[in-house]
Amino acid sequence: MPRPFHVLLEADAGGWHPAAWRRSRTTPDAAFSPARLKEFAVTAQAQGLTGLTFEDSTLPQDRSPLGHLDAVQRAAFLAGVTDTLGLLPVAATTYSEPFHVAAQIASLDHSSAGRAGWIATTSPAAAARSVNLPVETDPATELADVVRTVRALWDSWEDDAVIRDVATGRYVDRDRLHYVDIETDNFSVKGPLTVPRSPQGQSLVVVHERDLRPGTLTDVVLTGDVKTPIEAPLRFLDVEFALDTDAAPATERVATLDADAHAPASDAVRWTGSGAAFAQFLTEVAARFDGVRLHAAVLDEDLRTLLRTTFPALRIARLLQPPQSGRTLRQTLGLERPVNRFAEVAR
Amino acid sequence: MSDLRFPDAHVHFGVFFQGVNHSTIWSEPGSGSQLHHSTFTELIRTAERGLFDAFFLGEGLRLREQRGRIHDLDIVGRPDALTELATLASITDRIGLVATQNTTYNDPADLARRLASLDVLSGGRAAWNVVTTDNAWTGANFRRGGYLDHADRYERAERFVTLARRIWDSWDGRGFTPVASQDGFFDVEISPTVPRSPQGHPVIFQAGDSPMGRDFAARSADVIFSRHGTHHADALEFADDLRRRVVAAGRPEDDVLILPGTQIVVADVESEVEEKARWVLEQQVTPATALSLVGQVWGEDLSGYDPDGPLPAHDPVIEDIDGTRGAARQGHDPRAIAQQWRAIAEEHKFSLRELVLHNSGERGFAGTASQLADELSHWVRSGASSGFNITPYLVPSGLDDIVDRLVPALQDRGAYPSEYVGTTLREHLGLRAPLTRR
Repeated sequence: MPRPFHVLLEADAGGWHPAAWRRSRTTPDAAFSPARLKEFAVTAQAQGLTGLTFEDSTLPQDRSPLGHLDAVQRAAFLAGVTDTLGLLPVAATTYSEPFHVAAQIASLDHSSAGRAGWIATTSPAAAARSVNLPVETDPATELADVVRTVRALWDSWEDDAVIRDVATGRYVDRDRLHYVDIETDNFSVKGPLTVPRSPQGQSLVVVHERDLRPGTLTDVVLTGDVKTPIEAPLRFLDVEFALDTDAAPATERVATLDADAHAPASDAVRWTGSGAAFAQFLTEVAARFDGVRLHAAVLDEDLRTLLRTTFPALRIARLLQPPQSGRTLRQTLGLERPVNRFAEVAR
Repeated sequence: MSDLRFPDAHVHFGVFFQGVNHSTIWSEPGSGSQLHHSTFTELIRTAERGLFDAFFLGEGLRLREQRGRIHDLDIVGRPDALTELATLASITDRIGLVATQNTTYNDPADLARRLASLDVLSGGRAAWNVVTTDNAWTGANFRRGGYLDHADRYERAERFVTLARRIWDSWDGRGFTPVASQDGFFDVEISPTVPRSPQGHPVIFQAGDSPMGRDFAARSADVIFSRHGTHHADALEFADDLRRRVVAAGRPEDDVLILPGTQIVVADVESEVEEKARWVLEQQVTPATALSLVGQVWGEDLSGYDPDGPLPAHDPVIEDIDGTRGAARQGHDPRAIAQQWRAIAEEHKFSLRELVLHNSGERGFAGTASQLADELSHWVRSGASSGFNITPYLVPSGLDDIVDRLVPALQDRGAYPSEYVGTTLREHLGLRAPLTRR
């Protein structure tokens, strides 16, 4: 049995290429259709993917010139129509309220019965103009502070805080609710959170290598660097791919897309070729990483080819193992449910 | 019935899942989880089966406290409103989705975007219940900390809503126009990213009751979520006052719907009405809750007192009632309240708990389906309200009687729709186009 390997797929926009939406099967105004989003998630789940990720930015993005919906909202929308798929939205840390982020991700974990992940990202300086806050000069350090705060808030309710004790009239045991009293250079948060502890205890935290500082409390590191090893519980490789289709070879497809719109540089590994060769590539990746996050050049075209020509080979190699119903995302990834920092052992 | 002001009006129903307060009973076997997704799914499906216009979620920003300790007697702990509503959007087709969201501890660019996202994902069913907060105690959970005084918080709220509307109006069908503001409250440049939904803008609800709050609603809101949902005369006076303010703001008098929050107890037969209403009340106001409510006014821990004994003989030890237990009595003079309560208790020979039951008992409606259908349709047709935002006393089963019995009785009277006519919340409520798009 090979070590477990996990495949995440990025669901934002028409694909990683900024010209992808021109190749999309849908018209521009249908790009935001909730029906399309549902169909996509149902397909991803049926194919045995570990989860979907949802990129986001409060600023306009080259990759989604039509705009994009809030990532947590999209993930939460899909929680109602999926039951094994992990749902991992981006929620930026730089100009947001840690309390709101903690509540949103905890709620997603409740409504998905333990399938929530949080991709904690930083925002560029330009984002400060939209929110009336000063430019953050060290966003990665602040990200570490926000992650630490959010994790404390997720522990601020012990698992058994709701007691419903009719004899004494008490709904909660206040001794199992905790103030977090966090103070950093930029903010302070009292607590407790208004959302009780969620099924995973703490939702999966994912941080990109570029946003990492020593001590950032992450469960998964995303990286586009194949060579340099990083210390983290789990490491996922970010891969932007384009596959040969019946219509054209991958390199030709990318050249045509490039003619329509220039693709900006990215931190991810970029891969082009046949679906079968991609399976071989992923098999090699599996020896060194715990999983991949895949970004299709054109979702509508590359996803079909990926499912038809790459996934069968991954299944045979037992590298694509569908998450089981009733398991949390942490369980699927082989991570422990975190012990609550506030729970007293002796109670 | 010819004296009715709106003889053909339909009753609008919303359901308010509070997630806090002692109005929701938790001690009964029929009381479900306050958090499990199945609770929300069951409640919203019942409401949609009953052709309700909207499903409301409250917002939690800090757990309630009494004298510096977390209040432990009431239901507490709830999901983030917009996140939960996004999940509910995927399993419902028609019902509106209303999120209470604060203008003090949110940011316009972010909140407008999340609301617009819900609006697009739900096919035009999102709404925002605009609230403000004025205490540093809540601010302790937020980067933006601090607080604003009463006047400033309404000004900020109004500018916040105006800015949100500009963000929602920035999509021309092909792209976005950046939105800039420099008004002393918001010095920002925003590049919107979410296109318009089928209903144009999320519907705006507003819950303020002060003159300033009413004027804010009259200028800016589509619906006012009022507290006047028990006495007809009081509700009518409120509604007439609001309509005057709406006209003064240059809008048609029916431009703002009035949905009072209320409770509805449906009994099988007339002889059981009083008994059932009393049962609900006694479950809500437990002995411990009665002591706690009186303790809030007296400013001390009365949990050692006998709930079946008299009110404390001494005067309250505090000058002001703080808002950390909920805003209902915030800022009122505790000695005046104590004096008034003592007079009532002496007159009726009430124990401490009986007094609290008496004070809490005059809330909402109780009756058979037929009685209630007559009463509620009269409210709406006489102009006292446009409908009701119902807080079920039990979740998730608390709407069953209303949907299975009261709704058909209203339909028999021609006072309730027989199907959803449109697909958006704006259509269900019969609202005109968004204020900035007329």
